[in-house]
Amino acid sequence: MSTKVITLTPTTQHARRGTALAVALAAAAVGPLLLSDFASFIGARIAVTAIIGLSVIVVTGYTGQLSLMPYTFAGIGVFVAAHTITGWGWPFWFAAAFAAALSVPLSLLVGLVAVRLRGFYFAIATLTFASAVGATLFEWDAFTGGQKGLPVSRPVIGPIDFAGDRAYYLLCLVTVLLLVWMVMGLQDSRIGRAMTAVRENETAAATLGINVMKTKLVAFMVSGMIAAIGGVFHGMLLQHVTRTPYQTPFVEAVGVTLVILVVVGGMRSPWGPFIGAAIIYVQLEVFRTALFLQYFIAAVTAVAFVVVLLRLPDGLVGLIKHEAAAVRRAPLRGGVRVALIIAVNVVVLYGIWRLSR
Amino acid sequence: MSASVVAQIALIGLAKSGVIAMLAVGIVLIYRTTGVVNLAHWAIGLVGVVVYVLLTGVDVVPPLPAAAVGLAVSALAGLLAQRLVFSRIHRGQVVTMILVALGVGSFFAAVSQMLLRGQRGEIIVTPFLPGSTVDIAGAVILASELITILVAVAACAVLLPWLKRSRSGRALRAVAQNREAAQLAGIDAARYAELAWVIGSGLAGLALLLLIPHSAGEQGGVLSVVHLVPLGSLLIPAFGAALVGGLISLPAALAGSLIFGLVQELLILAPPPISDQREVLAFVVITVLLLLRTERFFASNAELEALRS
Repeated sequence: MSTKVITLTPTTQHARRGTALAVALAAAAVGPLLLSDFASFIGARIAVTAIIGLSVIVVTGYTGQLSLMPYTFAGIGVFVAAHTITGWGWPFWFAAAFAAALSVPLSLLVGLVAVRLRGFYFAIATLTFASAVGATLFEWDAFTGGQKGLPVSRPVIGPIDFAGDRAYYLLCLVTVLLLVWMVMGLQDSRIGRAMTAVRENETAAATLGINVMKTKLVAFMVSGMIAAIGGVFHGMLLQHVTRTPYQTPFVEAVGVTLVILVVVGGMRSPWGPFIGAAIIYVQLEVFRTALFLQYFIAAVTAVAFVVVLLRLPDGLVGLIKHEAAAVRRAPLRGGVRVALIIAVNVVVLYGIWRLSR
Repeated sequence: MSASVVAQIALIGLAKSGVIAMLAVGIVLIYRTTGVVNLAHWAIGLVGVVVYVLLTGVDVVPPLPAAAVGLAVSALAGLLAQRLVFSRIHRGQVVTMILVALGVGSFFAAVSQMLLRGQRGEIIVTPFLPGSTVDIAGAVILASELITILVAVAACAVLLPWLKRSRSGRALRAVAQNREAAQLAGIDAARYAELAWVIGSGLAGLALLLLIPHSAGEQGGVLSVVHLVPLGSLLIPAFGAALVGGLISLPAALAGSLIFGLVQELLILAPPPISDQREVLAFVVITVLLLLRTERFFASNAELEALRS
């Protein structure tokens, strides 16, 4: 009798991982559709938030520059969508490309400041930029429609009408997956590696012959474009947009929430914003009826955020990868561990949900 | 334009400067001793105000003691933030440090909203200072605004000489200038870092307690949504003021608070394009201050190195 030794070749592992991913994506795609229109709306909101979150991944996760103004770029996309799609009858993909192009001058300006300023000086500069754009461009009534805001219509592509929440959710999901794929490609590209080098040590990167200035400018351009595209989809999601959330992202606290959910999800993986957005928005919807609980969740999320920053540099994506590796090493022990973690979370959430009734 | 109108605007601007100055002094003190750019500063002050609102809301505690409790709670919140969170981060990790400060700010803002039981909209706050008006040579301002100016001046008049002369003040500055040398000289750096957080956070509580419960004049104050967020309504101008001194020099930060309070208010009197765009001007000034890297003018290279390592 000979003992058969089965070893997993990298290709098999890759295939398994691909299968797991495909199953997860299929669940993400079908789940909300089976539930309700409203669940699809939340799904679309998660996907749109993940798109805007991807802009944070490129500039903060990859390049290490903390920009606190993603919603300013999203705002540009939102109002460009309102004018071009609804006003001028453009197809949405053309509007998205146009919004991305329009974001470039602003992102170049921010990038030029980033070349000169480091660390918190730059972070504070982006805060003042966000406020300054809010007090000028978004204050311009012809662009933002003043207090009343502007309507945005959802697209019709050939025979498919994306006006309904279910159809629109699928469109957002496809878009976010496409962008995740592109951002993953960026990470492995020459410029993506340059970004990592700049994040780790600017001086060392420069001695390796990396053009730090060019790398930062590209990072800001790509990030601004993604956020503007996210804005176009955000506009179509809401169908009616007003300027306030983009004008004062910190009064509305959306800017802070975005950074928090990206970090909790995992700042260095394109899947991070997706996971972070899903966790926060699903919780907020489950506890929608109790304002008190929403603030409780905000407080708990802030604590989780700080813990992730101090202990889990790769966020939940890192944790999932770690647990998946544990399951592969010792299927039984690892499996029990993962099941326990999930069970504890479900019990706690269910308990809170029951208490809120 | 009559002189009394100008004087009136100037006094209102000075009151705003006073609030900004107290916030800016806290920011500078905390940054110099611990290297933390405290984006949670507003939210820590806010917790004290919310405790004050809760105590006065149930009519058990009279306003003035309630304000004292609020101030103490802010100081305690700052102490906890330093001891539990900020003391665990290495100074070199700048991005992590800012993000953590943002997280701590979000935490305290969420706790504030939780304590108010998620009331949306505006909450009426009982004042602890008189709501009457004072006539100073024709300029009529609220008594609470005059008191704010006096308290800010008094706080600085106590704090600056204390830092310069007293034993604890000198130890605090020693920690700020060179932590390792200070430790070799027998100074407990961790304790003085906590002291800086307590003083800075207490000042933040005091500033917000002078501002919010009196924001609506005779009726007392209004706690609205612009106050209940991590960065509040005055944290960015306070950072601007602190940046005049490169987050390092206290006297320069005080001069900065005059720019972002007094001068900004006085620009109301300027011709239209300037008077309408005062806020945008303030943002431009902050960006220019950032680009100038003002800390170069106030600290030696050795001290800057110490702040970053």
